[in-house]
Amino acid sequence: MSNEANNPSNLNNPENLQDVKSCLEEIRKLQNELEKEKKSADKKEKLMSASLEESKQMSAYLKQLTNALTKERKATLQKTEKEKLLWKLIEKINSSFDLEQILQSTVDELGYYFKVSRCGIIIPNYKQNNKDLVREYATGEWKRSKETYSQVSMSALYRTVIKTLQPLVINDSLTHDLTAGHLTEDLRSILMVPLLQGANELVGVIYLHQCRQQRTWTKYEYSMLEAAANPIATAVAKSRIFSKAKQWASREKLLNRLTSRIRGTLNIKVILERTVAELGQALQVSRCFINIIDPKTSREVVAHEFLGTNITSLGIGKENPLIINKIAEKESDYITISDLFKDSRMAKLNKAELEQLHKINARAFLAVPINFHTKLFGWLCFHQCNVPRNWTDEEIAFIQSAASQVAVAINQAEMVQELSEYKNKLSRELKQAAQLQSILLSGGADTNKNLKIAVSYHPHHNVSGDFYWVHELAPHVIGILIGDVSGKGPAAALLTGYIIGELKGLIEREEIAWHPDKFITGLSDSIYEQNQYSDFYATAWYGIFNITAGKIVCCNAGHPSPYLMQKDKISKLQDNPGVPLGLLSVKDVGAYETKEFALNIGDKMIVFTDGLTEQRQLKGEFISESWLPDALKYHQKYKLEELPEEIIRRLNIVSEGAPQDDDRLLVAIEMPEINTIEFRDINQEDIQNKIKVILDEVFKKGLSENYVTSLKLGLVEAIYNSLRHGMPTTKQGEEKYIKLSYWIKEGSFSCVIADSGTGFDWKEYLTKKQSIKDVDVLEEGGRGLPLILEIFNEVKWNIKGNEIGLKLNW
Amino acid sequence: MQLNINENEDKLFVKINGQLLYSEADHFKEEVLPKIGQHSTVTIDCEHLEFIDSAGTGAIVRLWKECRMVGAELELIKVIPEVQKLLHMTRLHQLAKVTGVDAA
Repeated sequence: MSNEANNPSNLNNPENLQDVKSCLEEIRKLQNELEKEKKSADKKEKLMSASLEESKQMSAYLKQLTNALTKERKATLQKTEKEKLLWKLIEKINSSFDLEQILQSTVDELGYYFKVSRCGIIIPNYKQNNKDLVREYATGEWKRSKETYSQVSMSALYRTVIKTLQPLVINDSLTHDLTAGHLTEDLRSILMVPLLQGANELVGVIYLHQCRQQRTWTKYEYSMLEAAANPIATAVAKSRIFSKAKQWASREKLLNRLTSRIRGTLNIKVILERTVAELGQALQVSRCFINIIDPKTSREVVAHEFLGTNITSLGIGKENPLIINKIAEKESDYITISDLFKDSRMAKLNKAELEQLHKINARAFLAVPINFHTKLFGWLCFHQCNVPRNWTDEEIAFIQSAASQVAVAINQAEMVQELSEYKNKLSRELKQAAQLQSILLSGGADTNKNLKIAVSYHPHHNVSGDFYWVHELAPHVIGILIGDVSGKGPAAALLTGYIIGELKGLIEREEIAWHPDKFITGLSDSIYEQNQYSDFYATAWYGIFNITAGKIVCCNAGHPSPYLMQKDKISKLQDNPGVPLGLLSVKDVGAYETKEFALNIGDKMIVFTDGLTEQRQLKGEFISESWLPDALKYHQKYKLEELPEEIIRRLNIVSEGAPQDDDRLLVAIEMPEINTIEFRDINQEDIQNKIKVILDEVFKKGLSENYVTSLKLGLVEAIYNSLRHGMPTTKQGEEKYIKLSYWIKEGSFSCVIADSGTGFDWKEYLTKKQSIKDVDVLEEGGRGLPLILEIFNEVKWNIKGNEIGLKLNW
Repeated sequence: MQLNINENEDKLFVKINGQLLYSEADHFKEEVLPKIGQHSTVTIDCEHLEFIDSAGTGAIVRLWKECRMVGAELELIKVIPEVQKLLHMTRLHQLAKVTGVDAA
């Protein structure tokens, strides 16, 4: 619209009068519009000035705000710095357990931070000897020697702070009451803050020094130092706990080491030696020694001693009564003296006793009893020479622990010593018993008979309940008894001894010894009589092997039946076992039974005790019953002398190497080959020739010529005896014969001469038998039997008297 | 056994060869005993007597008894050690004079 009003061409046109009007109209409009615009401009101007005013105000506000913000930021910055410092301190404190190091870095940090001349921390009574721990930071010329700053705790300022537990602020030392005129050095401003643990437990003090120039400590600085005090106090407390724990740990470690060292031996001497050495070193005493009290005489003797350098010995083994005992309270757990010179209790000692103490230079004393229950072994004692020493509770507690360990070790060692002495005595006695038993059993242990015998005997203990007895009834008749007494060890061995005594008596009686049933009955009766006072019993098997007759007669009293090995056959002897010996009266159960079995040359018999069959395997199960016949089958081709040990070896395999459960006894017997000569008619020459053959053989085996003549005479006498007196009595219709069976061994010749006659009463003859020397020299006959008895070492007849067994040893 | 009997005035010499055993004793007695009574000494030469048993000893005892009855002296000479031993066992040397083969 404003564009149209400004266009002149519209006014010059008459045709456009109408148009003028309209122009005027237009102008009016324009004027109106101008008016409007003017009004609007005024309004705008008004608005503008208002907004200007407003912006002025805004600017002022902003300025204000900015100021506030800046202030705030500054405060925040300061706060951050404080936190930063605290964090730094805490970090340092946490990074180490070494308080001295912590304190040094703390004072360095704070000193630098506060830009002071000095910054220091005092921790009183921190060190072992109750000395203070002081660390100081200083700049340039304000650095002081350690000796100097260590004296800070002597100052009045320090004492004030630890007394009031309040911070001490000295802005100018020249004017402050406490310092005015007192300070020699150029120390102007001091800030000292107590380090408190909890509310009021003083740990130490921290201080700031400003030298030469006066400094007014700001509230901020003051709060800053107070804030730093907290973590420092914590660090000190932490370090104290840590060093205590460390001390305990090292004591515990030492105690453990001591314990393991003294427990590592059962030798009391070594225990005591190690104890004094370890403790003496650990406690750094002048002298550590053990006074041992002799239980019989109550005398106290220095048993062992540890000495520091240049310390005189009390003298090991010297009698050393613990004088100090006199001052101890009764029932007290230990005796301690920090300083002999100052202890009032010393008055209780007489002059001589005091002199004695002075002589050994002891100044401080500690003695802890070594006792186990109520038994006092002695005292563990410590001397500190020349200087006093405060024995701490920890040290005493530690020594008491050590002493109790020593007491336990001594007690243990004594017990072990007693036990081992007892064990030695017992084992000595058992050995003697075993020796005695072996002597007892040796009477029946000679297996060098004409019967082949091999034995394996493995007692479970020194002494055994298993036994065997080999007895030659005649050169060709061998009795073998094998027995097993119930139980094991000494008691069983005693019963074995008793049985051996009894059997020796029975063997001497031919009317019993030749009859297994009578023999077993006799033994059983005798044990039964004794058994009324005990509950022991025994199993036994008694067999009489007759080599020339090729048979065995036997009787079994509850014993495992032997095995027979014949050619390819292994069989159990059907010997019908009766009740064990001594268990029941024969009157109650009836007599035992004799069984007879034929044996051929080469047949073997295995007699054994139940230790071979009642054996467990490693897992605890019993080995199978068939193992023995299986083993015998397996070892059938073995030589007799190897068989018993091979069987035992096999048993160890079968039982998987399990420990032996019982005594093991195995007797293997084999029927031997025999040399037999038979004379059916009397042919002098034949007899002479055969005797000659025998003599030649014996001569070859080492019989001296001298003996050969005797043997010849013996054989001639025996054969002619059978010829003259035996054979003629042969019952009518029966074949007449003389059989000579003989065996030549190293050192012995034995033979048996049997005839077909009815025998003779040799027992009667023996009752009145004469020695060849007693035969009347004028007698023309009657020399035959005396000569036989003179020449041979053994002469035995069978019951009937038609068989004579002869043995000559050389 | 073989016997060799010689008589020389009042002396009787009997030489035994071999063994004097039970089986030979009777033969010995039968041969020697009848000769006793005519001699003052009876000498048994044992140089070749190899062996003697109790029956042989008995025969010698019998001979000694016969000799004693007639007052004759019996001596056994040249006895070999083996036989000497046997004679000692039977104490025959207490009856007759026995000398060894070495002493001869």
